[in-house]
Amino acid sequence: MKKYFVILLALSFLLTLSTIGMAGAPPKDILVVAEKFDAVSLDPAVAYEFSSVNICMNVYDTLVVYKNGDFSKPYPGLAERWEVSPDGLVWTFYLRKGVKFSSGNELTAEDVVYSFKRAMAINKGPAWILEENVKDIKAVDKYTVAITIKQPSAYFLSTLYNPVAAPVDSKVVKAHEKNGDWGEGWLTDHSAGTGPFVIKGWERNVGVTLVRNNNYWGDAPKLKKVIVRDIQEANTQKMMLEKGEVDIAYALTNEMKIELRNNPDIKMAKGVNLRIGYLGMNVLKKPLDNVKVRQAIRYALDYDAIVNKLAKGMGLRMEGVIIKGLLGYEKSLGIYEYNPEKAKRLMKEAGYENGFDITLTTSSGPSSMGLILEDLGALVQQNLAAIGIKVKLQFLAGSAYLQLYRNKKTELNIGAWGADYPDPHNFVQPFGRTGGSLAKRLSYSNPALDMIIDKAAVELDPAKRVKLYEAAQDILCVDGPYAFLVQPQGIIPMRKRVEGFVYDPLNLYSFRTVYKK
Amino acid sequence: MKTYIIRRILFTIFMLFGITIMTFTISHIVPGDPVATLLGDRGTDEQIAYLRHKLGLDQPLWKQYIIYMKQLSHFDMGTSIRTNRPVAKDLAHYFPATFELSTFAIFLSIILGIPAGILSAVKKDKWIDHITRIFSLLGVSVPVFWLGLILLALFYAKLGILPASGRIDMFIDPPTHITGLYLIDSILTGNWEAFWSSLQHLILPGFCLGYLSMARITRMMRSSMLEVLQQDYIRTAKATGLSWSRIIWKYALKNAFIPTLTVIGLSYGSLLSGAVLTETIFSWPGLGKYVVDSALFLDFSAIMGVTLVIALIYSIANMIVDILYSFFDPRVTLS
Repeated sequence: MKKYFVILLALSFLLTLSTIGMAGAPPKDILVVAEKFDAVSLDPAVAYEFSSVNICMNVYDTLVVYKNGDFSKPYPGLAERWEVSPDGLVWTFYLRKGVKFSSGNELTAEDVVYSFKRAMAINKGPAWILEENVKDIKAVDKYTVAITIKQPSAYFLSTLYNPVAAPVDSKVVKAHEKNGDWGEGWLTDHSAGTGPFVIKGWERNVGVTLVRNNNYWGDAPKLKKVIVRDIQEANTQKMMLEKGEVDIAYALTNEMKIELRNNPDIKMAKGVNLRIGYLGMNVLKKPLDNVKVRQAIRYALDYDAIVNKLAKGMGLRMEGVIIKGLLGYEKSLGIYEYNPEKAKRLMKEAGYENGFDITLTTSSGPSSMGLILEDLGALVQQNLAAIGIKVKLQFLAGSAYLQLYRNKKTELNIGAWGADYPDPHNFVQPFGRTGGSLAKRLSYSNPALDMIIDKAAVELDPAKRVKLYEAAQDILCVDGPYAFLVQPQGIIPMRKRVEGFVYDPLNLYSFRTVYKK
Repeated sequence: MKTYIIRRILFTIFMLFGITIMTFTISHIVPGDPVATLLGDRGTDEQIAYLRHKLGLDQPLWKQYIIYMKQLSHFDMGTSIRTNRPVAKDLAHYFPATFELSTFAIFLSIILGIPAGILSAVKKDKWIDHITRIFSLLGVSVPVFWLGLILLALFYAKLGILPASGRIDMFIDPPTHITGLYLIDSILTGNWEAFWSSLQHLILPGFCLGYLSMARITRMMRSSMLEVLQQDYIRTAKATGLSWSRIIWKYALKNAFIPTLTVIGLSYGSLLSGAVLTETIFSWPGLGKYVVDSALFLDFSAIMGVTLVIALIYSIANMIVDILYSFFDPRVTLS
């Protein structure tokens, strides 16, 4: 018996002693990234999750690009210039000549037309970004594309920065079509783009491997390979980053980031995140239909506590619905402040001095705003209790929460919203316009606000546009059914050996310029 | 024996049929809409209606069930709404990883648990017994999640002798796919680098996953061994001059083993259904996460496929255990 255990011990000792299998630091030309991968498909016409969109932005170049986190002005991407007809309805794009897809095929107008038609035919997640504006698209000649839009638009160009509008290699995709699926089956885990990297493979729940595109038309990336590893547990990611087995870790909690501040091998890239966390109020549910009650709720919330205690300081106080980084952002609207006394007064004026009962619903999964939803819900519950509102917390699985929300059955809810394209319309419209995807869940409608939003969408003069958004925010923040809680700040920890990382608020994985020393 | 097996198989098919009805009903009653979840909160009502129609989800429930069963009779488990791949393909992808991990875990539990249980019983109330009992008490009380993180913090972060995640080193190619089990495949192809790396990657998650089963096996082995050792025939054997080791290994163990066999069978079945916590901590690409993701998403086809496969596994595990009974205890007849 004793012999048995001795042998066992010796074997295990021998086993762990062998150094094969212990990954050290990855080679200099290979970047290893740890991510809590949530992609469902890497097809740019379908990609709609954080992870999938980010991969697509490295593999598919777009017609226009934005640089250095400045979203006020688009730069030529695959289109070297563009012009719009006097009536604002026809946009003509002149493509760069000699741009090759990773296959070696040249990019032509036909590819652009095919890609747009494909995305709208497949009609999944991001298709609405094109559907909303595009009426017709055709190839005028080999390098010229004419897109007719439904109404003049101030933000149409920014929608082209989303992967759904990225050209795919039509010859390659058509060759992989099966049963009329537009090649979706194949493009789910392969790529056919003009970007600096190519998808070598996607092993579900293990990771995605990208390799350098040797036919890239722009500055060749210094990295030979990028491995995005799917590591679901934040603690594991942190240990791997500290050990140096990964170069960048994307899914650490705020507490972990604070802990890593003093680590001599780690540095942090910082920037704003184009997302927000908000509290929604269903206007049909009494007494939320009373604007004074809505205002009271807004005054009752301790925004600084949310930013400092819950987000650990890694977030911005939100002043309005337009976030920092976008046109129309206002540093201080003077409408939101924590003022429980004022809140109580408003409740009294509304006739609810003794408060009322209400349910707050949110999903129980991970929050994309970097906060723990249970904690946020508890804080809101506490704040509202101080003005007499008794909140019952309800946490549901994502799919059940969405169903309730879509059916307009939530009372109070906490949600997050991220930018699809870098324009204020992508925030103001869903939140404020009658029928906007969030406004309609809460049955909110304000015709005066609608007029301003519609006008701002077609106003081409940026200065006038800003004024319109100021007016829109004034209305939305006073009358609307939202309390804007926080804009999370992006902080990405990485090994000091990683250089050239440019923080892009819309595309956090941008590996084009990265290299390791 | 043959008739017994055939009868068990028929019974299993009947049971699986009942499971399809129950699973189908429950997953459709629960609130939540996978199509809406897939399209996100910006999906328009038209998009949702279009996709629901395309996936056949707007048909009456009984019709959907018939269509599903018809497909199933051709061994087609449908397509996952979430991954857009055939469910059978998803399962074939994730199951081998879980199978390898669970088998390794139960293997560890057996080679450590059984001797520990025997030792503990034989040296009752000595220090070795106390240590073993504490160790197994911890096993049934320690939260798996915490255990995994502690193992990682010690063996990976602090000592650096075992890997943190995945089935194989990031820069070593997995062995050529034959069974999907890395250890077997690497032996079959003579790929020793892959073999060592896969084995190293199995140790921490295997131990983490197997610790609970190991503890249960130890405790059961100890208690049934103690009971057997008190029997008259053991005293008689000792009186006739047989050595303790002969008594234990030749006579006592066989009799004490049966309840432990039940524990092993049940534990193995439960491990095979995918251990999501262990798989999450160690980034093990197995069935556990797939099961949880499908359930939360309300991905009907995936839920059905997963439930059927797990039910099948449990039935097979139980059947094998029942058959093995008859080898250990000649009084048991398979009828």
